[in-house]
Amino acid sequence: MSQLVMGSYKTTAAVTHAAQTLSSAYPGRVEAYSPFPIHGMDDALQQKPTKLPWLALIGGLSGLSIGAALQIWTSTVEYPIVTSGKALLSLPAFVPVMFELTILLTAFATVFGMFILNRIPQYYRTEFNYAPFDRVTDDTFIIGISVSESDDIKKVIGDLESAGATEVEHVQG
Amino acid sequence: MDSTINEEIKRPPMVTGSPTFKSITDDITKPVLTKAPSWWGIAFGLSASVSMLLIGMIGYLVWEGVGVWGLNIPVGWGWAIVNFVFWVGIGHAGTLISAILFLFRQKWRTSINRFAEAMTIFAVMCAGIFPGIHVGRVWVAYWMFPVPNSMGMWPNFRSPLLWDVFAVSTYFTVSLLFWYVGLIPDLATLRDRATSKVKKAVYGVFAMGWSGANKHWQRYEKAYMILAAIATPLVLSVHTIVSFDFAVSQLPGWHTTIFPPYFVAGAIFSGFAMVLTLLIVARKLYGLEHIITLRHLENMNKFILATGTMVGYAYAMEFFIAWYSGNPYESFAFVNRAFGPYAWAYWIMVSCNVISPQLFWFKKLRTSIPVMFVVSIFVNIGMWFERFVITVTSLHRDFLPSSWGYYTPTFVDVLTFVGSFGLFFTLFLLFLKFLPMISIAEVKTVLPQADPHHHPEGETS
Repeated sequence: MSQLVMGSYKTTAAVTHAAQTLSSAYPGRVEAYSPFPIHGMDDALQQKPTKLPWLALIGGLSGLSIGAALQIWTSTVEYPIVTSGKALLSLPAFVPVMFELTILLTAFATVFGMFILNRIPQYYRTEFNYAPFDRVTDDTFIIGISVSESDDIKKVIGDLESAGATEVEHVQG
Repeated sequence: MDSTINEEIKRPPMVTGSPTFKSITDDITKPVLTKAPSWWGIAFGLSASVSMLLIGMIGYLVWEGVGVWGLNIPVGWGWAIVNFVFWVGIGHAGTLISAILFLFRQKWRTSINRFAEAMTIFAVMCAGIFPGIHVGRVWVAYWMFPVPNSMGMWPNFRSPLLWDVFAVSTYFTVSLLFWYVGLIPDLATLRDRATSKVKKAVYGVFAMGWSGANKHWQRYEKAYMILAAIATPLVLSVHTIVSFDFAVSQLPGWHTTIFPPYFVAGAIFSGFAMVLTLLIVARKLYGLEHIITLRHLENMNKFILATGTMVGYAYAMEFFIAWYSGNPYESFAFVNRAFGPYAWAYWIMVSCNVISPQLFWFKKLRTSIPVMFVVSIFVNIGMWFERFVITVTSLHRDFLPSSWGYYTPTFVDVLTFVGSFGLFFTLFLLFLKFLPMISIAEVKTVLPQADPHHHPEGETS
């Protein structure tokens, strides 16, 4: 069962400032929730860049090699038929399909890679128990600090309040 | 007025009327969460009936065979191919707006990209139908894909028509993914604001439990960036490959190296015109003039002017090369185009595509809603005729005068095309009713208060 202490903010400036202060007090345990991506929030929360581009690269290279292998194998080995007097292995003619498959598999790797890294779909989250959370897709900015049994919950609540948060709550489930 | 100038210069606001985050959410979710207006019901009933025409005509075609179309030797490619290229061309604006303008940091795109992407997807669906039914034996259309089968046959990968199958299906898939990724945060907004249980559940399923956590946004934005980066060459490749269907053949009038760039420019031209036609109506009906401002429309008109002029250049250059090459067959094909039996189609094309967008050199006309609406319709008509001219005029006078002919469509050709508009508008109306037609999350990022360094008037810190 995960537990969070959560609080709300009204402006991007306030939430960014609070994220900065709190993430130095609670390194690796602070997350910010917002209706849209906030410029500079990655730095404020000290979050590292994502590895997603590497997945995209792997997807693209697989698409390229599948496209090349499919065409070379079917045209020269599996079903060698001369059409319009063209060579069986006509690489320039294979470029369009190799290109399209590169794009297609890069897109698959990017989108599904993003889903996997973000662990979505995930229909239950502890955060959903925080009452103001349905406004996070509208105009509210929220900060959540992961806590465990060993933490002094009162102190975390106090820290969040002194960082300017309203509606501070201890959320479990 | 444009946003290519230096950052230091004070920019005009992307959205007028100093909205708040909340007012943006309210304005955009309102059509989705409230009862549909009566015009919507009428329009939906009308377009759904017209799309029945499409289904009926396809049924008739499959039952009777392709003889019900006007195709005959020497014109083996008629309305079906014309309509395919027409719809695919229209389907180019969405990805151009969402991907290329994104890479160029044209922030004004945020108000129109969702709309244009939806249009792209529906246009590509309409496009895909035509080559599918043009193959004759529709039930073996799957032979176009490299599927292992009991005959041990594989497609001919040296054929441009096969490249086209890959290009269009990749384009459709990537556009759909791109659109869906963009929709996820907005679906979460609808999930959180829907009051009915059914709506909450359905939007909830498609929002996939989106929480708006910064770590998620970070990966989301990276995914969006990568998709934009790969969709850019993709969108240019698709119409290039469509043009290869013609250009790789040996036929005078088709066998031209200018075709790929000329087709891409034409596609953007027609796509922007269609977005403009729909946008002018939708922003008015839904009262979204403060988010889709006159400036957005003006910027789109500039694109139409630029691409229309490129298309005009291509028309001229084809003639120049036909003369300069000294090839009598090539010259004949082009002289026949402009002064032969289909001259009427050629001159409709030139007036709509080259002459009408020139009005947009004048700011007064570029910012006038009635003028731009009429021009956008003209461009749609002109671009259909462009494909008709390219396809039919190059075929109808074969190498031997004894086999010359004059192609006319049958009622089946005409009604199938009309029906495809029915399908397009049906899907589009469903989109307007059930999905946010403007990207809520993205529009919020271009408001001044989205910047953490923004300070409201008179406040310092």
